[in-house]
Amino acid sequence: MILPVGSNLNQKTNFSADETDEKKLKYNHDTLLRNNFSTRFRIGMDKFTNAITLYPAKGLKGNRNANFYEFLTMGQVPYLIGSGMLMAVFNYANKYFAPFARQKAGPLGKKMALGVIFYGLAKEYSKNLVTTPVHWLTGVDTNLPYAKVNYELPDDIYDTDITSIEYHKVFESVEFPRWDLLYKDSASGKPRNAYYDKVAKKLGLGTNLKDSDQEVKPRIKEIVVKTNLAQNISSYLWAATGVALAFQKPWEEFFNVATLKFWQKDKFKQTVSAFFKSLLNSMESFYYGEGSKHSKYMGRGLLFAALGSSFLGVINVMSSSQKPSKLDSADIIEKERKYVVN
Amino acid sequence: MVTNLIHNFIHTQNTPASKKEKPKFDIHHELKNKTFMRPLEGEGRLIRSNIFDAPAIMARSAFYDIKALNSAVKGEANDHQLGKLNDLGMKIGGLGIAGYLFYKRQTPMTKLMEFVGLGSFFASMALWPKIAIQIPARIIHGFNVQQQYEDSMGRKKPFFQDPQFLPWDLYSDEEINKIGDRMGIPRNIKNRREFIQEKMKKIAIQNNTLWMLTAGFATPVMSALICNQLEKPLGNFLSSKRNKQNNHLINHFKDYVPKHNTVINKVNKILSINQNQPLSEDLIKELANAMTENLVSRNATNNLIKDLEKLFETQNYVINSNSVNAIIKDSKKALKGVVTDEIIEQIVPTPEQLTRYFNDEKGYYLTELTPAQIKKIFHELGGKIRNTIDDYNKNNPQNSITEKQKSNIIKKLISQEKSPVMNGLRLEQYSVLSGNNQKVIRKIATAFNNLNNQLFTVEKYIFNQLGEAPETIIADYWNNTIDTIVKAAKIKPEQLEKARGDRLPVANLLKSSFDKIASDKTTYKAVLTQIASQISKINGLIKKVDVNDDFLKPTGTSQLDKLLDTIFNGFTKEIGTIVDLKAGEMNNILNELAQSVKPYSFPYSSNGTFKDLYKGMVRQRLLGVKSSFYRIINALDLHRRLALGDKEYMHGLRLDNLPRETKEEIVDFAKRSGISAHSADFFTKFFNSINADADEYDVTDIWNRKGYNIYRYFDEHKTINRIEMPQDKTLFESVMKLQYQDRLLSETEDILKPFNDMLTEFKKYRDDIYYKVGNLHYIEKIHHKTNPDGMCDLNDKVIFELLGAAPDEVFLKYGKQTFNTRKWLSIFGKTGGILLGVTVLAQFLFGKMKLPKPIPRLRNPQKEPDKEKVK
Repeated sequence: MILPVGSNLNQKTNFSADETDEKKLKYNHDTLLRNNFSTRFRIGMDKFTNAITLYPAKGLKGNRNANFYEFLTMGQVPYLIGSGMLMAVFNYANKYFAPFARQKAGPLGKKMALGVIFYGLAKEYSKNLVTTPVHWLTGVDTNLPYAKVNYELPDDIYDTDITSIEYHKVFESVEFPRWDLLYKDSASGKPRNAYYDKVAKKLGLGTNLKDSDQEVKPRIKEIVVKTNLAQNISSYLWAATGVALAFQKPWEEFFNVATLKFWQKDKFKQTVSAFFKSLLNSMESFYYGEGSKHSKYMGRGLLFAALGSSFLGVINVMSSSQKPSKLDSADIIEKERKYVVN
Repeated sequence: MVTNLIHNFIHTQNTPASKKEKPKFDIHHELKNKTFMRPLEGEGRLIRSNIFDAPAIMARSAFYDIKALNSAVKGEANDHQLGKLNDLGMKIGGLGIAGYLFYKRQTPMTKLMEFVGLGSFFASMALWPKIAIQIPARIIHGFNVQQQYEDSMGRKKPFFQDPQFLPWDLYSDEEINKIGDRMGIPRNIKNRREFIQEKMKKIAIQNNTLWMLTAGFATPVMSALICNQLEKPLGNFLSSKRNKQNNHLINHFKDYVPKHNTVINKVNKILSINQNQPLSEDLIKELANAMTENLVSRNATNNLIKDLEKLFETQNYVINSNSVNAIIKDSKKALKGVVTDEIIEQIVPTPEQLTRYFNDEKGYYLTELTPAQIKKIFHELGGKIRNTIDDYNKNNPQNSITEKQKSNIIKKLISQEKSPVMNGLRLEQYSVLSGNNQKVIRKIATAFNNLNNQLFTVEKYIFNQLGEAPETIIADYWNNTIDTIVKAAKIKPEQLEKARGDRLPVANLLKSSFDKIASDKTTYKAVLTQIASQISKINGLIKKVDVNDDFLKPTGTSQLDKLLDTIFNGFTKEIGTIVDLKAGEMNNILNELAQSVKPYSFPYSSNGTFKDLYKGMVRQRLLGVKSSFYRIINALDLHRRLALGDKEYMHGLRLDNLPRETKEEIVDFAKRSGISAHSADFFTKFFNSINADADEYDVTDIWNRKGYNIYRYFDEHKTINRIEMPQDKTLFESVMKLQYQDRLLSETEDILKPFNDMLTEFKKYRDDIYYKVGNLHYIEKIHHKTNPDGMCDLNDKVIFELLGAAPDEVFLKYGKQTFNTRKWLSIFGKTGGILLGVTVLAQFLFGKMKLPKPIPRLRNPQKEPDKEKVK
């Protein structure tokens, strides 16, 4: 661990890493993590708490260590506040209205609020419709996380805590993926290229390849790009479908009985049952349309567009433009042609 | 080697000055000689754009997005392109939401607002950092904290996005120094450029954080405020567009008639599955339903059923399975005892055999047969039966039918008119869906189809002009007029908000406001001119030549009436080409829909034809709206007449006879009834609290002071000694005369004159109310409701239309809406304002850094070499 370099020579700062300190850290080097619920939850909570506490504090002070990761992580703050605000804009003033106006404005505002929730949920979870099949079919988990140990400049000469942990994804950047983290070390007892061997096998490039990593890396890049594209487009279409679902009339039955007071057992039970009943009825009404036949076509159009974008996205990921390496490299390289090695 | 400076100098003097050649750049040479290899010169640049570059930037950005999408589909996109695709996805999703909700909304305005909402949301996301962060920061700190740059690859990025990677080389020294000067950083400090950069970085980090913290609050609020502010101009724009479209529609009606084949298709479907089937009661009902499904006329279907039944009534017979079964069953029954059962079974055919005979051999099956044809078939069957008996005898010589038996069989089956065979042949009497009948039905269906298509367009026109729905021409006019009245009368929104709880406070507010207006000649003129000018706009929006109430000022047949006549006459004519109208065919449906039995009269929709319902509905809507606003003009005129106290205009008060207290009661009630009275109040001739023991000797006039009526006795809040008086003749007569019979003020007439027909209409309106509603002897009876035109030209509907809406109710609703809008605006407008203030003020605290110590001035330059020692 690097300790701060003091400008005052009289301080006699020790220019060496303190081994004892290193042991206290959760990670002392960039570490690949398992992509499971527990990790995702832990990372989510870490990012969320930092986004609302540490990072704004650092940012508002103009801390010289503030970085792009923190800025991006803080991006969830406007999302959350914005969602709450959007709900408030359509609901808060209603309580001041006369009963009839309130009755008219109420369901619309509540549908809007429900729409905000469905937007967020649909956008977040619909990504799995692309990433999970891609993971199954190719062995490439585009959401594979790792913990990055970040060394910062000390704030002052007494600042010895100059490390921070950032949570990134291995394929966060398609230009600079963290290939290095995917190689197995000797301690694991697995071949160095075990990860790449597995992907190569899944992609049908064969087994026992000499340089599976070199064969697979361009394919992985392509998969990551296409998966990101499919995620970006489909998640918003699913989000739109979520909003459309929230705008169905049957939800009004749910709003009439809904309560968040879970300690009132009977009422809360009624709320839960009304929610699922309204959800089913709303799905039906969304699919078959309410009133005009246009709403039926629009509803189905939106649903099929969302479904189609996820499905076509996965199909596009699987239809690789890269040629499978079944041939020896000597046969691929044309000897008469000039090549530039980069 | 020591350089000989003098030698060099001489050499330059002797050498002729050569033109400096451009350095040659040879890639192969450069590659071979690796010592020259160095990074290429950076081509990044700071982007300096203004609002005029926005279209070009947007176009370039859209092109970049398409390129990024293309690369991503191929799996070749880079990080920057993938980032752009996220924005693209967000826009597509946003359009999906707006598109879906567009179809869920009912009116053009609400539909449009879905896209306005989407646009304003994206605009707010982009505008908030510019308004609240970028511009204040530039003013406070002198540089753009949201500066963008283009890298060597042509990718556009925010300069301060990643504080750990800032391409400072894109800023020249001059620019940095200028920013430093603006920040007030002394010129003579150590590493001035680095210090300025550090300060800029700090400010940018702080501002970016502030942006993240405030955007969530600001974007929805800003977006909602933008929508709120755009609603009115957009409404006006749509309204004017709709008005133009409607004017075009009524003048080019045929171009707007759709070519839907809804009725034809439905009828064809029914015909195709019922070919040659009997035109039974059910089938006729089905056909009539299909033809009249889209007609809202209540009895159209029943009348058409009656007409079709009559049209296809017939004397002809049809041989069908029922006839066949009846012939066989009854024949067997008749032959019982004449011959043995075995012989009966042999000579009587099976249903299949007989059907085959009628259908395949003779072609009689399921066709309409005249009575003469039936007789012929009957004789043919006689021959057939004889042949069958002969054939039987030939084939069964041991068990043959005797001559006597044969004669009995003939006698039982075919020798008499009421024999089982003849009964069977005459069993079914109806028309079938033969080719000819299908043709007739198709033609009738086409006539209904054409009528439907034309009525669809007429209904669209009527709805857009006068529909009782938001955003129609009449609804927009109504809202604008109420707005104008509130503004002209200088009624403050706060006053309306306070009074919004009930009609009574609103009525008090209006009364005091009208009193104030009426107290001063100039104010009265200004306010009434403003109001009358707005009210008169109705005749421009809904032109009399197109649609007319035909009551207040008849101007001949309007375009709409002509159009309706043409449509229904056309329908009648078309039906006339199919059936014999003179013979009364299709009479019921034509009477129901199209024929005017007698000319309509007030209240217009009286004779009940479908055509007149359209005409009546239009007139009632128009009259109702006009009456509502004329009532307000009348109320203002009354207030002004009373304020002036000129006896010439106050005959209704019977000034010489009535006690002063009663006069005061009448005056106050007249003012109140103009503002609050409903049609029900006119039926009861008003309920009012009066003092039955008024001082009869005091018959003096009511005082007026500075344009206000000053009451000596009457106090509206005092109820002691007062009694409730229903059917008070004196009160009713006086109030009605005072309100509607007494002459209009010349001031009022002068104000209304310039607005074309308004004065004429307004006078007609007053006269009508006085003679129809002010009729003391009229008490509604049941026959007025059931047959309004037959017995009396007055009923509750007429009173309702003439009275219009009570102003206090109109303004009560307006007050509630105003309160809701203002409350919302006050909550979120304040939130937005406070947020903006805090965001701007916070920036004054940003960028605080300790200055480095200035470079000490060297007093003795000779000591300079000492620095070397220090190093």
